[in-house]
Amino acid sequence: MIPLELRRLSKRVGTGAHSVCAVRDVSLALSVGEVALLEGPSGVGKTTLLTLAAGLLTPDSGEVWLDGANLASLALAALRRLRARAVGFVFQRANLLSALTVRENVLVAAALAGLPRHEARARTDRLLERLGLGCLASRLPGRLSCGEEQRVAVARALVHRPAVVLADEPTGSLDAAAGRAVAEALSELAREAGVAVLLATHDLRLREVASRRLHMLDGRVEPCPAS
Amino acid sequence: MARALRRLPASSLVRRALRTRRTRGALAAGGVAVSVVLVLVISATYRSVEVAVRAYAGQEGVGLWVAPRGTDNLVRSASLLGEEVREDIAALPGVRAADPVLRSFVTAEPLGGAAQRRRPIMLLAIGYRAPDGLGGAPRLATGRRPAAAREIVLDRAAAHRLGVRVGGSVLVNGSELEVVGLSARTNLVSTQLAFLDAGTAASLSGYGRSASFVAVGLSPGASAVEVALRIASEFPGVSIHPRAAFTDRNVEEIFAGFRPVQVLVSAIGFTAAAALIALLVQATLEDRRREAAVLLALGAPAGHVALAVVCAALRVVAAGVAVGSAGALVLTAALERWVPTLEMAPDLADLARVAILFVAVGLTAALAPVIRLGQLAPVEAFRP
Repeated sequence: MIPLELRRLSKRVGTGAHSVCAVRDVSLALSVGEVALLEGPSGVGKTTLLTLAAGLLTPDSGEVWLDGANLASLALAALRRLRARAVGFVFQRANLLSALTVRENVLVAAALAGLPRHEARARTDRLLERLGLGCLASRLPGRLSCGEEQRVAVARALVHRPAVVLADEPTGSLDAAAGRAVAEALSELAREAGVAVLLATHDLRLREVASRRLHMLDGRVEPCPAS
Repeated sequence: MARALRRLPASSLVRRALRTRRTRGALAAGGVAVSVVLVLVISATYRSVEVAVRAYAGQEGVGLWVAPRGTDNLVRSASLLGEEVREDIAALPGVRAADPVLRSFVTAEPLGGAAQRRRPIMLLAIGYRAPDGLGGAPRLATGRRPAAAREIVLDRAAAHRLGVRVGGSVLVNGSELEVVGLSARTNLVSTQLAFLDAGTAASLSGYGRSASFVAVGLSPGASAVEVALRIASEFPGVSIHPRAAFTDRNVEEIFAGFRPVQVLVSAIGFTAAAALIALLVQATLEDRRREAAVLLALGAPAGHVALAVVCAALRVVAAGVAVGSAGALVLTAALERWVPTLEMAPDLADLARVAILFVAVGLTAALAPVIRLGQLAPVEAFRP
């Protein structure tokens, strides 16, 4: 099954004279374990494309197929359940829940995906260990470095083994070393788990972790010539 | 096996993720607690007066209260009943006792050293057939009942105001009386009761051997209705009140002026609590807006997120009600001990009602911010 397929997707954002076509007739399919890099400068529609792929925005035209389901055919509750189960997110800011510990931040995604208790805990602990965060499991996010926070976000995105991880500038707020570590961890763990990753970035250093590179400009997505 | 397969409860994690910041929550709970104390104290004050009125007008042994026509309460009575009325009522079948009760406002002044520091006060003096006739003090805090002329039992709040104890003396309408006992639950806030022999009361007030009321004790097995009908047929110019009805009427009369104040103060307390909760919920939502958006993006049901915010508000209300209730009880006990002029009667039913009302107020106050939560879009989680 194709984890994520976008078919002739278009979306205008804004209203009236200020509206722009953020996504223009985009078609794209990700295969299992593939890490696709969506390159492009700020403001070209990368984030809009990710939110469309997650079903958080409704396209003006075109279809999004996620884990075998056409999002347009789903009721809101079913869409929410599908998103909880089949999508992992890594945001530009880690967006951890400040009142929860590192471990609970990961567990929350597992819980929302409906994983059994023991499995959720086992996967969380395993992932935190793999990401070098085992000793920080009971810390609150406020006491972590930016790199550590983003690695927790990676664990949260992968704990429920979603069909696809949508990552929006995950290294945007990190220095070079931390950014590289986060990107490598994400791509390595995703490949191991067979999770497709769509990684939007304008950070050229991340090309090394990608199995495919796409370029986005003025709402259109084209394959990079060099990929 | 079933235990192993049980799902991790997402709702509790969502609730914890969106809980109110500790300091802010503690401050809001403190504000709610102060409102609770305010409402409970005013309610306990109200209740203490009701208890006092019920204790006196509803005292054991009195089956009927007979009053001049048109008089239906202890506080507002102008005309008097003659001595012959009391004697004739006492002779009726079914009447065990018919004792005079003479009520009059008197001025009491401290004597000796206390006179330098205390001002005269007005008391509602109750003259009755001392020491054991009907219409005396329902309960003594200390000392004994008046057994002779020139003896008086003061409400303990009045004694405090006059700076006098059992064994001391006070000037009542210019006559020196010995304080032989202190009564409890006879403080009506605006005035206090004092009890003395009917003869002494008559001479102090100049009413002679008349009575404001006749307290009628019924013989065993006698019907209050039948006795009331007999009295009515013998004395068409009097009003006859069964004990319960007379008690209720007294409560109504005394609270006619008090209740609006109670309602106003309580409304202020509830409004202050509602404003605090609404502010707290609004602040929590602004504070946790991004986190709520992240949870929605991760697939949390909007209902879980709204419930988490409501639960945060309810926790604060619950803490405020608990602390406020405990505070009100402690304050009541402290006032009872050190400031007897402020008598209060805390009531568990009042406490339960106040708790329920505060929870309702908290929920209502949380409603508007929670409804606005519906405008939160999960895509906000993507904003840098």
